[in-house]
Amino acid sequence: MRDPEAFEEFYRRHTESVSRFVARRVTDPHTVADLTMEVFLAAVDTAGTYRPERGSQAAWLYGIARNVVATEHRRAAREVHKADRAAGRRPLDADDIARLEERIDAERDARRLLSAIAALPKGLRAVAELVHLDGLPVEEAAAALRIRVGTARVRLHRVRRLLRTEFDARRPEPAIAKGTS
Amino acid sequence: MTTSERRLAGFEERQLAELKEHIAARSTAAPARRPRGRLLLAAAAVAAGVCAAVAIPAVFGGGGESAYAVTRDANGVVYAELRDFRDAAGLSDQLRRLGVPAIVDYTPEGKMCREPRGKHVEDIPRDLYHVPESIPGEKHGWRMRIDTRLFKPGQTFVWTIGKNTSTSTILMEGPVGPCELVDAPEPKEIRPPYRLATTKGRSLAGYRVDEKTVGEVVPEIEKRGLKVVYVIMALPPGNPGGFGELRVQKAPVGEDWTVWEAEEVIEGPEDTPTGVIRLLVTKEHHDRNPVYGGPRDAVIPEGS
Repeated sequence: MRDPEAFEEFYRRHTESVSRFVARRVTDPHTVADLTMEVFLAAVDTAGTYRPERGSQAAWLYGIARNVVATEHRRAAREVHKADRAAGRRPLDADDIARLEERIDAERDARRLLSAIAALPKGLRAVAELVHLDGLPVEEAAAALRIRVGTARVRLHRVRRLLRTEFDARRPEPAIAKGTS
Repeated sequence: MTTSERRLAGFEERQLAELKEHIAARSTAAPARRPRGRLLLAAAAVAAGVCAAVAIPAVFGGGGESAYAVTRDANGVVYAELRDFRDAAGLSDQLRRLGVPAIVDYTPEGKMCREPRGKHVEDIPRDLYHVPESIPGEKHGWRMRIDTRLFKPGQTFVWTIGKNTSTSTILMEGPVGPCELVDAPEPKEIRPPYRLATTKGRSLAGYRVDEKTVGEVVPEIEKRGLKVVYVIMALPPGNPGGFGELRVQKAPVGEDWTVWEAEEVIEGPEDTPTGVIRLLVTKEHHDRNPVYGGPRDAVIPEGS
């Protein structure tokens, strides 16, 4: 990802799904904007790790986004000086905030599902999130998590066992259009 | 590739511009700095949250070493070194004398302090304490760094040191109750009371049931002296892989129903098979095994 013009297309194609991914896990508009930026920064810096044969760009980005959001949660858990953080932020105007709040609002159901699966063991939760919450096909979720497809399937099976009711209540529609790259 | 025509929000345009600058800068001068100071990705592996529990073997060091040593440097940072963990009261006193509002309790094996003893502090300053580490040059014992400047009034550092188990460090505020010893729960693992029956060492080892009919499978299972219950599967539309249980019944289902997998019911801490097999069945045949989202062989290697 060395060419700014090629990146622009990449960004335009994926920024909304990435910010929705974040908005399913974070409810503050500033943080959603910040973390979306972090995901793309990390994508730029680690573009060499993208392997088209292992899955779509979206799956790869979701894999990065997971780490970014997890880091944010860890950070938030121990941060006391919230003022410092606000000072380092990029400004958002009213329109920006409205757009972000729309997305955050639209993902309300997904956040409910997320809290339902929060109690699952870590490995199961990761697959369940990407498939049920973010709408990735199993193969792509496996690629994002760098696990084997069979492993992902077995985990999903166990998740469905543990969460029968939530699973039946909501099957998300795919949150992303599969990119051809 | 087709460029998406969607109009970006203002902040997205600005992010895009910033990212493009970053890319341009990267390609000219490497290694480039990221456009912001806060590096979220540099994840600190510091245990955070209200409670850090670290498994540390509680080996009772002896020799000429003292049970513990607590020192305080000029900046108000206290180092506590522990070698014998049983003198909790002495350590408590020593810490308090050096300005650490601490309560230390020793918990014998299999015991814990009844919780909650007080209100947990959610916002813990990053450097208030570091999780215990080894004492340099020593095999046994460990030490901990506590920055006394970061305590707020009314906070107490509640430290529980367990025999052979772990130490927990919890920051509390307000009154903290005494440690009332209660039985520690066995480490919990949530396991369903059944497991795959058709793999090595299980009750149906060597006998594949997947994609066969009930009429074919059941006599074979009963021949082995096992009982059958039927798990009627509920499949999501399109059978994408995965299923729910519509119901579990003893009453036989049609001989032409399809079996997708068999599980053995187990019980007790030894996971002893009970002789009951749960057959996962559907009335209709489907073109892919819902248990595995495809053929069983794609998930479970042959012979395992």
